[in-house]
Amino acid sequence: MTKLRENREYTVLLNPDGREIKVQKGQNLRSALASAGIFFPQNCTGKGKCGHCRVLFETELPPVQKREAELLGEHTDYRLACLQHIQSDCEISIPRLQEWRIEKNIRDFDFAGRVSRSFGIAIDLGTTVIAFYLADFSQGIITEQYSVLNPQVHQGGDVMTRLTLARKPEQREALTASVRQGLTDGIKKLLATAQIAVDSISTVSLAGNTTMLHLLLGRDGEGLEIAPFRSPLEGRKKLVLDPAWIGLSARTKCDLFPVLTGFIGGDTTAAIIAADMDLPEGHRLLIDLGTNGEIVLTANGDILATSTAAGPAFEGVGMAAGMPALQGAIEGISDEGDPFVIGGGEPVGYCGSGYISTIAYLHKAGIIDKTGLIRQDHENIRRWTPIPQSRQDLYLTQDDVRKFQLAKAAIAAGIEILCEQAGLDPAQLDEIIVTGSFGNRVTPKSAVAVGLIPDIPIEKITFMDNAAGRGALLCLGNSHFVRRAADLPGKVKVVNLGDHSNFQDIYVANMSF
Amino acid sequence: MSELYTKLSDAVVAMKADDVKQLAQQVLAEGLAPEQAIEQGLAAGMNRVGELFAAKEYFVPEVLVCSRAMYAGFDILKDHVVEGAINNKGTIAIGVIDGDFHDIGKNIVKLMLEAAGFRMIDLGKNVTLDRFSEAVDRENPRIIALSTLMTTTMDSMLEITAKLLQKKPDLKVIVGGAPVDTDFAESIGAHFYGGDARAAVIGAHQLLGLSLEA
Ligand code: B12
Ligand code: FES
Repeated sequence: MTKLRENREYTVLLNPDGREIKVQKGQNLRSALASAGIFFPQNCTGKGKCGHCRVLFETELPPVQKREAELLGEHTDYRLACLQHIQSDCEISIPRLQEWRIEKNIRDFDFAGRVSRSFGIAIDLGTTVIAFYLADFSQGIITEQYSVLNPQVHQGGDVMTRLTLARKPEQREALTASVRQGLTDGIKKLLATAQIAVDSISTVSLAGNTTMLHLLLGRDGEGLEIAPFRSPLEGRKKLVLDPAWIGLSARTKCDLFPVLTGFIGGDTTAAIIAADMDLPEGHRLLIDLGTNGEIVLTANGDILATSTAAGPAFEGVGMAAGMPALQGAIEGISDEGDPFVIGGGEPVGYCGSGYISTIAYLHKAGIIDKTGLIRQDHENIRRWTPIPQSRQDLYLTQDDVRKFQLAKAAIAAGIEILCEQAGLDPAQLDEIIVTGSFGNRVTPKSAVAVGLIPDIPIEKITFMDNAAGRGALLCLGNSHFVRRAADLPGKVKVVNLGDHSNFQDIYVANMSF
Repeated sequence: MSELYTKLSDAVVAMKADDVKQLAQQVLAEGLAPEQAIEQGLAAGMNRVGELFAAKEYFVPEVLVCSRAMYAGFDILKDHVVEGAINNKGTIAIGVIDGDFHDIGKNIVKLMLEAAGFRMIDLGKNVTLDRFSEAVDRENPRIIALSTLMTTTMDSMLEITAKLLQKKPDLKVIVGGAPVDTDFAESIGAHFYGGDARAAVIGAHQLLGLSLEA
């Protein structure tokens, strides 16, 4: 017997490209868009808290909810997709949505000295993006690289959300299945593009943070999501991944990077290898700038590591005009106060590096004082914009600056405490290496100016594209590097900022400019 | 009201600990009532600091410096206060719930509530239901304030709230911290959600039927 079709279907027309999406009556707009492959890169996973899923309604505006109105402010023509349930046909356009550039390409990588006839795949399994690198050992080059969204983002945006879900066995299984599927599909795609058979993959090297590894291996968080944030995987030299889980033949050798603790995972140990942080030379600092900022210090023969929580402010999340580093994002400000816009066109928002640079500029110009107060008053609202005439919504608000201060101070305090533990004056650092999803766009000058990283000569500050991916590439089919990575748990001293008796004072002192 | 009290309040807001100390000495030298100087000078100053913090004009460092100035004055005056002359607005036990160690927000909330005249019992971080329970038995607080900054721990506020209310039905529960909001507070049966330290002060007054002006 066929069921009566009482479920009405509506059409959502997407401008400007004219695409049509069929939506069930009452279906959540955000999830409808997600099933059509359109999603909002950085977001609060549909809790109506970040405002990043805003869409412009070009047909009749549905009623607004209270929380929606608060987040939307002056943008009364917009609605939040995650709070809207479709009750009629409609036309919308999505201002901050574009083809999300998720490439994590690596340039100039050299496999000198590794000659063999097979292939290897290095994988950077990130919370948001999975990057695959196919290495052809016979030619000594990366022949293909491919990045794709981690399919788990549809289940939960950040690790904490996924770990909460994973407490329920069915959800844990779903998370495990989806990441394994994502890896399987990615590898398939890589092989298809390169036109090689799965059997020719002799080795895989995978770097993932502790949460990603737990879920990949079919474990729940096992308590890593609450204090003291420890994982049963930590200290293990060898983590075993069955190649069949990710569509590889049983002969493929899979190496996983070891984890140091719940929030210093295989992505960090891979980055340590890429930056040679385990070689006791000089005083060197590695910073992985992201929601969870990992910091590694090599000094006086010791290797120290910590993780500090910057939160997503550097990725533009929670900021009034924040957005990912996409076309239209202000990624910096010139000495004259003119914005540099990615892609050159009209600016639509700021990405993390844009905030760093803008705040550095405003501080220098005296518009933001030492305490972070915006001294320039517009109608009693403390805010600033580089282009007052055109876009009303490009303001940097006082609240943004406060969130920025919380984030930058968390990184700065982590650095200060690591240096303190090693008995090192930060000014003595020989090198600072910055990596991480948006690290590449930050200028050393502005990062120093806002107090994010220690004040050392600019030429000693370098950027490394995807250190975790590079570490994974180094370990491909190279037992020397694999051993170096496996030795890290015994070598690196983990510093837990939460245990530091004076954290609060150091953190608070670093909030000012 | 003595002009000195206004000066004390201003010196707290201006983060001038040395001025506060000097003014406090002057209060004693002139034979003024130290409890009034505390309430109408120091506490009134911190109240203004709370407003500036809520308006985002002052940030965490400024609040802490102001509070140090306030305590500099308080340390001078407190030994001269006649027992019972300072109006205790009620006891509040505060803690960061089990599984979470983020305690800076809780510290600021505690500081503001203390400055506003509440007797604060600080249970610290990683506080289990048992420890909250014990504190209710031992200190008989009128309010329990729960804090957490993590989504992985917030759900246990439900059980804590329910169990504590079972034990002491007239207890008031206030909650706060980044992932928490009014809807969540309502859903777990808590009486108040506060978005910042100033809101905590307002909420505590409201729940106990006190006026903020006093
Ligand atoms: C400082 C900080 C830390 C410090 C904590 C030090 C300490 N003793 O508290 C350190 C660096 C140690 C830390 C560690 C971690 N952190 Co942390 N941390 C932060 C950060 C940057 C700021 C929090 C803070 O202190 N704010 C300042 C205070 C004044 O504000 P507040 O806490 O919000 O409090 C105010 C209000 O909320 C309210 N309030 C608070 N409590 C209460 C209670 C009541 C009753 C009321 C009414 C009001 C109220 O009033 C306060 C004052 O106005 C936040 C991100 C952020 N921007 O918020 C992340 C954040 C809380 N951390 C987070 C995480 C996950 C961690 C880690 C577990 C993992 C990591 N590395 O990212 C680690 C621990 C790992 C380990 N041990 O190895 C996440 C939580 C995410 C989630 N979904 O749950 C956050 C949100 C960052 C993020 N998005 O990733 N962290
Ligand atoms: S995803 Fe809709 S408000 Fe955050």
